[in-house]
Amino acid sequence: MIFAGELKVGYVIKYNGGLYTIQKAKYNWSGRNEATMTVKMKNIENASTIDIVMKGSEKLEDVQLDHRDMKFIYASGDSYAFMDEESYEQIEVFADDLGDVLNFLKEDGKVIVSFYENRPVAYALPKTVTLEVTYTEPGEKGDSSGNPLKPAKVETGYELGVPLFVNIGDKIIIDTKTGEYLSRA
Amino acid sequence: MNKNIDIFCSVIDNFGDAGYTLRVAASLKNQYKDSLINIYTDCTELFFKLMPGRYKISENGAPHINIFPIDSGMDYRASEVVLGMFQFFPDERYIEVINKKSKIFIGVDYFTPELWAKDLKAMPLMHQGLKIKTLFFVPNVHAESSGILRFSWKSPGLPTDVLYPRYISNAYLYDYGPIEKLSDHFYSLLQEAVFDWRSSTQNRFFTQDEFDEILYSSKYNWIRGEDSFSLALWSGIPFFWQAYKQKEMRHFKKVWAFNEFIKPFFEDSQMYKRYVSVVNTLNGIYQNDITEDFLYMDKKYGQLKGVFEKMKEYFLKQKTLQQNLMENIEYL
Repeated sequence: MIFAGELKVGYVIKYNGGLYTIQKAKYNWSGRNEATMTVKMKNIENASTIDIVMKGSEKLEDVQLDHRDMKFIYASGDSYAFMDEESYEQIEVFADDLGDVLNFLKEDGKVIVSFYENRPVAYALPKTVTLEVTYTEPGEKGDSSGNPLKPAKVETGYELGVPLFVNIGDKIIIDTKTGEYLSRA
Repeated sequence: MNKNIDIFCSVIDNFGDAGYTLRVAASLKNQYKDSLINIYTDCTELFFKLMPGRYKISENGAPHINIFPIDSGMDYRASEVVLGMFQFFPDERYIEVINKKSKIFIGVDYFTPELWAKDLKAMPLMHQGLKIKTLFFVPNVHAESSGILRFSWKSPGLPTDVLYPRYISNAYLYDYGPIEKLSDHFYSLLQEAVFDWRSSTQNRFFTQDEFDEILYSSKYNWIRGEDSFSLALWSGIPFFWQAYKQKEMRHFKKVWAFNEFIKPFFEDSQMYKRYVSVVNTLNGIYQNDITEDFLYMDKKYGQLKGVFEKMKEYFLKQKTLQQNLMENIEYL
C-alpha cells in the first residue's frame, strides 16, 4: 500500500478493479497542512484515461512491476524511442503515454520504464534532472515585491519559476516530482 | 428542487472550520428553503456558540440548519447530497449508508488563491470506500474557478455605509507580532480597535453575526485564515490577510498568489508595493517596519478603498462557490 501523496509518474495502482498507470501527478498543498494529489491515470487494459483528485493520505494498492533504466534515443513524429543499454532492446512509446515525462526529456536522458507482464506500461524520471535555461528575464527586471521567483524556460520547453539570480545558459537542477527549481547545477 | 443535504465537518483548530461550514450550510439553506440541511460534526458546541439561537438538534420540518454530533448512535439516514468539508470523510459506517442512499458526495477543500486550484473545479474525487458520484471543489478567487462563497443571510445586504466606519481597525490574527513593530502613530489608530491586539484573542469570543458586523464596520480589517478572509473579500473594505502558517513555509505561495491576484486592482504601483510590504510582513516573509507603508496608504485611504471596491465588483461578476455547487446538485 502507498499513500496518494507518494504517487509519481510511472507508478501503477489498482483502482475499482482495474490497473492504472500514473501519467501525471501533481502534489497540491492545500489549507492547513493537508495535501491533495491531482493525477491523470490510464487504464492499462482499455487505454481510457481519468483525471481525478485524491486526498494525500488516501491509501492505494500499488502493483509490483519490473523496472529498467532506458535511454531516450530519438523522436519520430509522435513516437519516442528508448533503448536498454544493457540488452540493447528498443521500445517505441507514444507521446500521450509519456505524460509529464516529456517536460524533462532531453536527448540521451534516462527514463525508468516499468514492465507489466513484459509489456511497457509506465515511464518515470529520476528524482532530479539537470536542464539548461533557454529563456528568462534578467534578474534586475524581476518583480521582487511579491514573489522572489521569475519565469524561465528550459531546453525541453518546460516553464517554471526560478530565483532572480538565474540567467540564460545556466544549468539548473529540477525536482521531477514537483516540477520545481532546486538549485543551480 | 427539494433535495436534502448533509454536511460533514471535523473541527481541526480555531473557529474557521465551523464558521465556514456554517456559511456553506446557510447559503445552501437560503437557496433550498424547503430542504433539510444537516451538519454532522465532532464539535457541535462550537457551532451552537458561533450562532446561538439559529440552530437546533433536528426536528421534522426544521426551518433551521440541524446540527448533529458525529457518532450520535449512528441513526444515520443519509441525504441525497453529501458534502465533506476540508477533505473530511466520515468513517465506513457512514460511507456504507451514503453508498446506499445518496446520489453524490462533494468534497469542498480549503480556500487557496493559487492558480492550480482552477483545474480542480468539479473534478472527480477518489475515495476507496465511496461508490457513488464524487466531485471536488477548491474555493478560489480566479475566473472560471470553483469561486468563493458569498454569504446569504446578512452580509450581502449589509449597509456598509451606515455601519462604516465605526471602528478604525479590526484585528483578528494568528500572530500579532508584525503589528507590534508599528509606531505610536499606529497605536493611536488602534485605540478604537475592536480587539485589543496586545491581549490573546483566545480570551475574546464573538458570535458570527457580531464578527460580521464588526468586520463590515471597520476602516481596516487585519484578518486571518479562511472564514474571515472570505467575508473580507466581499466587504469592499481594505484588509490585510495573514495566511494559516504551513510546514516548510508553504503558505508563502498562497500569500504571493493573492498578491498577484490583487495587483491589477491597484492603479498606483507605489500603493501596491506598500500593500505587498505590509501583507508580506504580516506573514513573516519580510521583517519590515511597516509604519511608513501603512501611513502612506492611510493618507490615500480613498484610493485604497477603491481597490477593494473594484475587487468586490469583480467577484459580483463571477460565479460563486454555492452557484457552482448548486449546478451539480440540480443536475442530479
